[in-house]
Amino acid sequence: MAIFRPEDEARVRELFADLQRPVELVVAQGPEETPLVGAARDVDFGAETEKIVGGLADLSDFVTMCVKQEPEGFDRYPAVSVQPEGRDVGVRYYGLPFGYELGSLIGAILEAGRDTSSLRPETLERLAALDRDVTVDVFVTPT
Amino acid sequence: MKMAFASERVRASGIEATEFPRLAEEMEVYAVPRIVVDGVPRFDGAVPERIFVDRVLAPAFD
Repeated sequence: MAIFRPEDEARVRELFADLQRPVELVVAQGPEETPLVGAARDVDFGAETEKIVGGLADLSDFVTMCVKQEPEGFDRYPAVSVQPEGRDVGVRYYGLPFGYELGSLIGAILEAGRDTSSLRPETLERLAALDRDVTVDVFVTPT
Repeated sequence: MKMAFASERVRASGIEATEFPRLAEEMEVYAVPRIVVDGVPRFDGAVPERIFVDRVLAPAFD
């Protein structure tokens, strides 16, 4: 089954053509929490996540996917770790990457595939001066 | 996410709230995006990079 409409697939291929280095997508599988929304209980989130991430990996030779069972460093499942050149830098997507989160995941792949950050120089200066660890969690919904 | 790629000090997660209702309830997620820093809810809504960085890197006000 195709993950994207043909026009969307062409657009993602076009975006991925700008990747400057390989990006590995690690799908972490394990016990899942039961969603509150009734219809969502019939969805196999882990299997769907693998399909979507596999669909992304099919669109560029620079994007690869692997699947791991309950790897270290993941709080819940399913999850996707976006790894520039296979390095785990602490970027995670928890849950099915669909809707808003799919766009965000594609954005993360593009950033991971860049040789230099797309952030403003002022932001990079502030990050370089950080003297403590910071954990940022962004809660989203599919729509 | 971009901050985590740019700094080893930063870790970042996107979390689908409806799939993880217990955690979403704990973090009082009633509007999205909700930004949680070091386990403490900080603000809701998409904001420009400069404001986002200001809010995320500001010392905790607890």
